[in-house]
Amino acid sequence: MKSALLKVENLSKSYVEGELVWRNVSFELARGDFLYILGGSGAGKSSLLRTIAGFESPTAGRVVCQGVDLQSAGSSDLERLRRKISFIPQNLGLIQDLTVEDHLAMSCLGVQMRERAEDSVLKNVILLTGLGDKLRKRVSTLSGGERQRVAILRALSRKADLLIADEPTGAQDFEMTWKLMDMFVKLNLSGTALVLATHDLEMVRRLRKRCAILKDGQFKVEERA
Amino acid sequence: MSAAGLMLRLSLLPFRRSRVVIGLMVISLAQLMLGLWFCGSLLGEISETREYARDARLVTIQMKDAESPVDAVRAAIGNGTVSVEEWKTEEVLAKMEGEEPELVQTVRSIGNEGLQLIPRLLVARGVISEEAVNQIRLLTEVARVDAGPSHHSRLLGFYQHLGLEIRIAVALLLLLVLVQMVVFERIQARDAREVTANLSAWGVPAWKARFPALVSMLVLSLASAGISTGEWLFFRKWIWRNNAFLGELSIDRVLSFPWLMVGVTFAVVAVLSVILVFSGRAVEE
Repeated sequence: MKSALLKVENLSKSYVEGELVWRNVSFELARGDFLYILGGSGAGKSSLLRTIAGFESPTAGRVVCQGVDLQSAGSSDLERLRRKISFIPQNLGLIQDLTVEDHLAMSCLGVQMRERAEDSVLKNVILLTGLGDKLRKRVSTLSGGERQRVAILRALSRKADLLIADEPTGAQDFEMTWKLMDMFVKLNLSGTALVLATHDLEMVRRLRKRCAILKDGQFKVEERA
Repeated sequence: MSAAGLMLRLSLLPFRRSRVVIGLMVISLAQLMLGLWFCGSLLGEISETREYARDARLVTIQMKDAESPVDAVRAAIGNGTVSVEEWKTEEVLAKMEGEEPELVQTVRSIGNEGLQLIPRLLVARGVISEEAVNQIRLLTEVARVDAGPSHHSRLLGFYQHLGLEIRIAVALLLLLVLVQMVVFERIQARDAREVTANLSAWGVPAWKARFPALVSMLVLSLASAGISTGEWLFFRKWIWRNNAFLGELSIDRVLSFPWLMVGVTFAVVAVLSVILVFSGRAVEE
């Protein structure tokens, strides 16, 4: 049995007292696991992913990643974990006035050389995302789809144990969506655990991965889509 | 790209995004710095002038005859903050002519022997040590030396009070620098938050993630210091040339660069920047 990389236990979240956005979310993820989180718009996918990634605190429950409880972890433990977790937020978290290259450099600022993606892998991702000739361009000059690919490229510029992505292909055309999904699957096969939020049921059906449904605040994990 | 280069680019973000506001802020901070530096420089000059007013003496050196060489006297006086005026026999007579015309006429009528009665004089004003006066007395070509205080005592109080007023102005200018730094920190807070959050999200330690915000503040002060240095170089000669209020007490040179005040300004700016950036109040992640 594989040891848990990520353990989510009875997680609940409320922004207004007495109104839970989602409740009793529990699941485990081992190295190399893949989990879709499927839910409609406003179901709470983004807040759940942000909580799992340690950017928000839950109202109840706990998230344990690599044996560290995110809620009680010290800053050095959190920094260490964040070097092992790549997160692609829905709002992409890009700085408009910086170039694509700057973003790649930023994501590698806190990590050592051995924790960065190999040059050949990075070149391949750059080629695949079609950003080769845009590395020196400011993010503000790129289209929505390109910006999303910059966020993906940044997340893949280092070797992470866990990749959490919030609708990472939402702004892509059909062809690019499948190219990127293919890349995510390969990454997963190489040992990186993935948590992907989406509302694209077709994608979940095609890839036939483990899937969780977030609906009306309830979280239910299905073994296969 | 090097980490330092990236940090610098991140720190310049607020300058790119709010060019006009921050540009105006750089210019206004530069004027405050210029004010501080002038105050610092004047404080330095005033302390020298007060010293002069307190210690200056008038020394009249009467040479044995009109032909006596004065080089040894000049050497003994030195050339620090001392002005030396040399009066030859004819010049002394010309000066006396208005007040004592008969006496002058009598002296002239005696001929060469009469001219020997009115010898060559050297009048030295400034801070001259007792040692130097005694040394001059011992010179063979000197007939007589009279030394007395140069009366500037009324000015001492004035300069003392002026010094106090300048110190109060320095304190107020430093307060305005503090206000400018706080306002700048507020203006760049959004950008700093974005950068800090972004770097923290990628595992960069919290103290390092706040570095760009700190560098932004230092860049602001360096840019301001650059402008005020330029203004200083442009204006210092002009100010000194046109401010005759110090009169003969003024030292004949342009204002010296106030390194101490520059140091104080940068120390204040650096400490403020560190407090504002790392206090946690300013940059909430």
